[in-house]
Amino acid sequence: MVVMPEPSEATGRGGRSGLVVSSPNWLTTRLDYLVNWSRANSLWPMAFGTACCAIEFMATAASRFDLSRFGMERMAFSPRQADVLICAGRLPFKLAPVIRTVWDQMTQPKWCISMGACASSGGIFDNYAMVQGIDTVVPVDVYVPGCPPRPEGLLYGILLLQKKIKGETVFDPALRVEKLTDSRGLFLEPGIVDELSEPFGNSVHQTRSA
Amino acid sequence: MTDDSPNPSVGALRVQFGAAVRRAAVTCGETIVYVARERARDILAWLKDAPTERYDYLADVTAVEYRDRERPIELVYQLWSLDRKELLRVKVELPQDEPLEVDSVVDLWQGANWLEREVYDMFGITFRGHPDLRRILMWETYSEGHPLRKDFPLRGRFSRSEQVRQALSGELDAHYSMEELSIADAYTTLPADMRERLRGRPAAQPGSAPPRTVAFDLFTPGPDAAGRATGVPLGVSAALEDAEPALRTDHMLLNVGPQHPATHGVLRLVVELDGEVVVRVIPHIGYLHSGFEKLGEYRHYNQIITLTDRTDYLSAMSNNVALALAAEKLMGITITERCVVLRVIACEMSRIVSHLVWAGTTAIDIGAFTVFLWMFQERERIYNLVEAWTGARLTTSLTRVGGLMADIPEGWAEELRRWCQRFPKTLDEVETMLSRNGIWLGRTQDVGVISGAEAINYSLSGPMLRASGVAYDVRKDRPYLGYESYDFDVPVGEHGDVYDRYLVRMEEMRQSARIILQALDRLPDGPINVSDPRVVLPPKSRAMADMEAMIFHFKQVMEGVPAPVGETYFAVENPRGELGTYLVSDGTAKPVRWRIRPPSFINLAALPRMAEGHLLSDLIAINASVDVVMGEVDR
Repeated sequence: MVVMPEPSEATGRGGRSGLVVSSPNWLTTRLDYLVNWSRANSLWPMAFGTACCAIEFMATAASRFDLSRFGMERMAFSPRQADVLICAGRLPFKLAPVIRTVWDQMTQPKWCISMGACASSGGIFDNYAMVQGIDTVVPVDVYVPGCPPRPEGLLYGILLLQKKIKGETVFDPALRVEKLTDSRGLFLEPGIVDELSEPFGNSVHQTRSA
Repeated sequence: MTDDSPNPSVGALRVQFGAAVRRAAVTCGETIVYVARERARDILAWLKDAPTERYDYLADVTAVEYRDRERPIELVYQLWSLDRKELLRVKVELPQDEPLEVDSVVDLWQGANWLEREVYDMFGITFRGHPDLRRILMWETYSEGHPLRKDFPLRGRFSRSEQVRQALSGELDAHYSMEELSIADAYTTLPADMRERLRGRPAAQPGSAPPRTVAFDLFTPGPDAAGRATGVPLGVSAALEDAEPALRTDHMLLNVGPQHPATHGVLRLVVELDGEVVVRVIPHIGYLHSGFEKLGEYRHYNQIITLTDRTDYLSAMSNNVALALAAEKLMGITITERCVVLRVIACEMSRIVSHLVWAGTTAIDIGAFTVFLWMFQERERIYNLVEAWTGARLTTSLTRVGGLMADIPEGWAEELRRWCQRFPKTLDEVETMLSRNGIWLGRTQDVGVISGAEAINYSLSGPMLRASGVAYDVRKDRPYLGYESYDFDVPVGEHGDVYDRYLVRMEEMRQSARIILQALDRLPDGPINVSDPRVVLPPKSRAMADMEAMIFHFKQVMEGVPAPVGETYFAVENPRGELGTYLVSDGTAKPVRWRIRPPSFINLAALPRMAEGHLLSDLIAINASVDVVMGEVDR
């Protein structure tokens, strides 16, 4: 059951088409299938490679693992011609406005893969310099664990993203709403950012220096 | 440990400078001279030029703050004499209750430029007379303080949401530096002191390059009363304007990075172009600053090894070895025969792995994609071996203080031998593709030349230095791990251009394969770890069954292995150059200071010198030839 919400002030981008679909029918499901199939199999990656994970990303793109098997052989180093942002590596605060700008420059539909422990949670860098997970800066669709993930791990993440895309419907406008930063510069509530960034595991007790 | 007689330079210094030489000490066989702050620059200049001393190579500039807040902050210069092969550490003590100021040595060594900026950024020490003293790793408006000071909390002063907010909400341009022309747009939102600095441009240094033709012209842009643009936003040199009044001869400003496929990481280059000629390059780094050195002060020595993987992630194994060797020197541990040879193998494997990536990515930058695929194919083969040994492809954490995390598996040595014998064929193929290729020659020969004397002055190391004809290789000049007993050559270039750097790295891979084969021949049997149970973890089976082993296990995991009071600077020859590990211990299990002397940071500082005057496309080739790893540059 897919219900199209009424166009609201908040999203502002709602029912541009004027269509109100109360239930999926043959036409819309076939259209969804076609659109999702083509989207999922021609994802153009915007490789935002920063650190160690970028080397494994390069290995994924090279001959042995061959990323082009998944329709991703075209590296889009311009965000304007990219579909999926792959943040491969750690994200320091100094780089945070850059990835935010890159994300804002990408056109819809767009997705984001957070590759590796540092991108997903800050990893072993629970310190003054590091963003504790890129999901405090841009919305993330798939997290790939590992430090760095093996190429197989990244490929599995890409397959999961394809699966997610194949479950989407073009008639759900909420999916394509830009999650822009507000006047404070955050796109999440400060409390949520703090909660996401809280130390966990070993790093809780490792702030004593002697 | 080692002999306690100080370096003879100390006596000569005392004769020359008298009381300005405060005291000298020997720790771990290394001589430290404490000098008076006022005379520090004179003493360093004398050490550099005096014919009996000739400490012409400034290996590192850094600072140490002790946990005891009463002790002064120490500014540390690591000097090396290329001719006399002598190391000397000069320290200047800066009491905490006085202004942290000292004279800059940039006029003596260009290589000190970025190093002093880093000390300023991380410790807040001001260098008088520095031509361009501003933050280098953190952004200009960073407001939390100087991160490596001991009163700076590990997680920073602000809450996480505030840190994210400050990072995201500020003017994007405010993160960038004064030197950029684009900042003119953000002028009104800048803090007052930055505006002051922008208004008054510093006078050109005597003897330096002629003044730039583009000036910041912050007040003229904008429409006049009739709505026409007056002035040109980016500024135009008056001379050019007079010569051809009808011709628009703006210099163009181009921003390369930080997210750019040809910058090998998150390096940002602001390039001023006259047509297609690079007039000025301003590198901006710090986009991958991860606080390694701060984090190291909160970790046991064995825990730091996992951090070293991630600094220079292309040669993780030799980073592991570097830290373990430094910590062992500090603790006075002698490792086993088998461990020594296995570490040599690890170092040389990572040199090959690193140069393979360098050759592949550089070839892409210059337009040859095939080499990338060939090199990565070889890399996958050696990765299989690395993985069989360490369990990881990239972040190996191979060493432990006093040994290794694991011995090589059965049959591994034969596999490595086969690989070493076969892999030079791939190098031959690549050389067939590139070494006499007209495009390759045109793009690399006489591009980015730096002379040997200048390379020394910029403190370059590794293939960058050797391509300029200076045969400085730590493996030969300060041998460690028994490198003096291996038969290998150090390739040296003649021209100091991109092509020579390429040839040097290709030859280094062959030499590394040669060393590995010799090491495999002599690989002795025996344990890989020292037998001291206070240093090396007992095997898990014993720790679970034996009370004593369990206690040692518990103490090592919970308390770490303490190092005696002292300090050491230990350098190894990494693929990118001299990787120095400077450890200062106050007797606890966590170092007071863990300093990495980052070879690619120092090599990158010479990029403007090499690239200015070349074409924009050459800038990419020159930048690739430096072989930067941003994880190590920014740390």
